Amino acid sequence: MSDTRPPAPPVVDTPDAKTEATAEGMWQRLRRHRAGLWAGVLLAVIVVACLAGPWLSPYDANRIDVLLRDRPPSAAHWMGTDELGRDQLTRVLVGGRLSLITGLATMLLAMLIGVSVGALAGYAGGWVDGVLMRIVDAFFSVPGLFVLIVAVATLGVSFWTIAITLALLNWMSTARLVRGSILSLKAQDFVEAARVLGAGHGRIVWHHLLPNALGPIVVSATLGIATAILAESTLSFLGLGFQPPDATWGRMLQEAQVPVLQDGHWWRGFFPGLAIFLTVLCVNFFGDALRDAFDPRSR
Amino acid sequence: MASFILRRLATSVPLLLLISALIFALLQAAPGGPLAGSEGGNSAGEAAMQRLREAWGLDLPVWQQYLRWLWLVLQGEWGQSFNSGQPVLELVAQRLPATLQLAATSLVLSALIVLPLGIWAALRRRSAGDYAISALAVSGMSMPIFWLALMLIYVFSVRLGWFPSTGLSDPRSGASGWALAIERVHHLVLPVACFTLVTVASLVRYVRGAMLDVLEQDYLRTARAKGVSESRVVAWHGLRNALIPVVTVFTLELPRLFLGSVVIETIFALPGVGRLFIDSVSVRDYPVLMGVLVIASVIVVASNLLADVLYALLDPRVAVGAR
Repeated sequence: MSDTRPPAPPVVDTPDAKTEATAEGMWQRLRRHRAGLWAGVLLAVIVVACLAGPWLSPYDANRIDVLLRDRPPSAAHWMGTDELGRDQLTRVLVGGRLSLITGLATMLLAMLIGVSVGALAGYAGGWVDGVLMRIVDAFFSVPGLFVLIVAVATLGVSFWTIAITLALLNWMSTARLVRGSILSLKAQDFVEAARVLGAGHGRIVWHHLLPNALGPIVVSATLGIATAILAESTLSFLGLGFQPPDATWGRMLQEAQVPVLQDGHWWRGFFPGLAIFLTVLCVNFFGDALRDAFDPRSR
Repeated sequence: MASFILRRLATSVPLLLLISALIFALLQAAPGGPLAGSEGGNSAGEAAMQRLREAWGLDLPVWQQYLRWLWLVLQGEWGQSFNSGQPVLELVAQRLPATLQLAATSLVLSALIVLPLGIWAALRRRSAGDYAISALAVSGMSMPIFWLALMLIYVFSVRLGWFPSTGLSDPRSGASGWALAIERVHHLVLPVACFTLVTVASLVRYVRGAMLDVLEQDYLRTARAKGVSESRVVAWHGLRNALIPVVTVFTLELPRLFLGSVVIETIFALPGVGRLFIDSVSVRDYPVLMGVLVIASVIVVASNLLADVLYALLDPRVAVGAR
């Protein structure tokens, strides 16, 4: 009953698909989604750059050079330097690792909770379904950012507090989605056939139901990464998330406030924020292309 | 209809109890509890700590503490701020006007922008303009709002000097009457712009989607077949029905009138509820945190309820279907 908000329509309207719901048709639809594909490529570039970049860069992210303080972007320092003369590009790449890993870990945890709860509710039905869906409603009605802030502040800042709390606040839509898929799938003949052949509940759910619900799961996983990265950077921007020496994009922006607003060093804030924006944008576009590929009927 | 509303109300009460228990458990999990900071203290002494624990009921089992707290809350006893000693409700009421100014202005402005934009995109489906609006929507949804705010302040406040960057007004100007009103509007331009941009981006697709759904309905074809003019088909038959889901989506934005935007209030130094919350986190002011969280949850649940009821009122098929 809560969260009556209809499912979000996709970002980009693709031409009507005249393709089959097969793997091949899926690939065709994905390829037609050019914006989504380019977003996927750019995302891969960002991830690889963050993973490999710090080694490729000629600078050390933590090397202090007082002669190079507060330099604007130049050929030698593409994103300029900070007040200690550290190269910003290298720092953005290093900071990206923690941002991306937090996003990924949060998504995996949220999927674990969401898929388990959704599958159990959809498969078991009856009062189990009723109770689980009320719990989903309750979690949906919790003011997320506020609870995140309090939880991290009271439980202490660490990678796992942040990832687990974020996951606990973001598993619900996955649970609803999976429950819906399982509900419609379990009424189909092949499930009945499997049961007649003697398959147990676990086997039916794991081998017959979940693989067929993979589409919505993958899509919500992708979009979940975007949500998690944004939430983590908001928390870190407020100074309540990761603390130095841990650097994330949000934390870098937090530290950039004074340099940008008082000293006019715009590059200190512009580039870390651009990194968040581009990453989340690409994930959203790519997730949308995936949704379209899995479900040609969506608009 | 009355029974539909009653049934919805009846499910909201256990829901609220569940949420309040969740929040209570969360705050209980704080290591050492609310007195941790003062423990091992110098002058307080063990006896004084014990008196404080008894006074706040901290020596009781957790579930008894919860029931005790719930009982007090229901009587309007929300406790006092550890920090300032002020009653929590009074403190929240002081901060509410700033949040309301920001959020109400932004939501009204968002509605005025998002409705024509979404409808236009639906009518011009797959045109360049439609794609541009979609691209804008996804960009806005991917935008870290603190980055947007920081860059807007840099450009319009630091560089160009067009707008002030912090606060609701300038205490030094001593303006009053109309001059003060204009000064306040001036201060709100940047925060409202940020809030509105992000809201428009997240809502425009719902409006577009709702309009697209309606445009495909048989009753529109019937209206056209009857010879109703195209503009009347869209504006009268189409829009009225498209607005039903849109009303729902907007109702779900209502909690933001109370919650405001933590990020915007922080970065623009607006003395709103979100800012109160952040300040209370850093000093571990549990009664205030608890109070804000509970009010926020009540408002979220109430808005969900309102959205359901409005939907059923506007589209009677819903209430019948749910029976």
